[in-house]
Amino acid sequence: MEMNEITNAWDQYNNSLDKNLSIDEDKLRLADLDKVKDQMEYPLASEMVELIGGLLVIAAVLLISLVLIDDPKYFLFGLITVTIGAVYVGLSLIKIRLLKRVNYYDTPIVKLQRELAYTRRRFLKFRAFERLLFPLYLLPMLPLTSKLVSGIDLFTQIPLFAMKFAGVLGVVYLIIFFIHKHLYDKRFRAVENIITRLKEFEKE
Amino acid sequence: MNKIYSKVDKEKFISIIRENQRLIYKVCYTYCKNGEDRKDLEQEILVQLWKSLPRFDGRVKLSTWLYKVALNTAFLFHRNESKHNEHKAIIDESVFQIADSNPIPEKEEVIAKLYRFIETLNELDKALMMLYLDKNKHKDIADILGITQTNVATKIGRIKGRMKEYFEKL
Repeated sequence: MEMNEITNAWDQYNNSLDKNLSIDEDKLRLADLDKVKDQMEYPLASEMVELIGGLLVIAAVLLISLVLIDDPKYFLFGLITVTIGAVYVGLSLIKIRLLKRVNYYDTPIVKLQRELAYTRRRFLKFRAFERLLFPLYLLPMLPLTSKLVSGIDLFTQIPLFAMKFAGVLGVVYLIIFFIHKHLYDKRFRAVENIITRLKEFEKE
Repeated sequence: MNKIYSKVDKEKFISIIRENQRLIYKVCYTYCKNGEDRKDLEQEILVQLWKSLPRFDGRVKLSTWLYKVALNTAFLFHRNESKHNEHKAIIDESVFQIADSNPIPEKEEVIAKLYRFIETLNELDKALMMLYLDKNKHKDIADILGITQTNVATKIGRIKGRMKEYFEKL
């Protein structure tokens, strides 16, 4: 089949669509399009939730630290948690900034897809860092919450503290390993594939 | 920025969709084979167009801009397939209607074969093929895709070669 036959068939197809295709205007009139969250808003909404969550945890730990301010050990542990929490909040702010910078609307396709792929790659790297940081975030909370909830001073019961510490560390790193192996690697490879395909497409 | 649609009213939006319904319909048909997905993509494109139309500044042709928004939405939709179910449908059924008295245009033999060929292409080449078949100028295709005009010409040449081979094998 010759090329012009194909393009003629496509022209006829367009003509046929012009004749037979119509839109249900009433459905469009009734649809509240402003109400719908489009797919591009999900990552931003998710980061906002993380940011608010991070700020709430910081506020809670600060409060606990203030309650236990008489004991410098607890105050120091509270301070460590708050500092790491601030790192999380900082990362969330960077991610929100990155997402807000993307112009989803009238950017040329390759440019937008490349921007999104690089943003996604940076996000995945941030996520990996956040996961590695998580035990350091969690562990100072152990003596704090233990003291506040059950009144147990873990610093006077070192074996119990060590046991809890090792238990939490083991479980958390097991989860991190699982996430890394089954989700992170797969997603990272997918992003790299997209970037490679885009680079190939841009080559003449 | 000269926003020519700074405050878009629904009727203006509907008239733009009406004038460009063929374009939106074909983007949905090219990127989604499944009817249910096609309906979701159609809604996603309509929402994107509605939300982004106030930013259209008239520097490019409306159809060029529409292609960019529709194709970008289709690409993202394609990659986020697992998230589609989270999407709350505001329009129960497709807004597109094909007149009952006429055969479905995609069932026409050459078009069906052509869509099967397009299906074999990667997502970027699909866009390129559609833009080429719709007789867009190389400059406009380059603008929509964000590659050089020379690159557009080279790629179209290659795809045409593959298409010729594909049709010869049938």
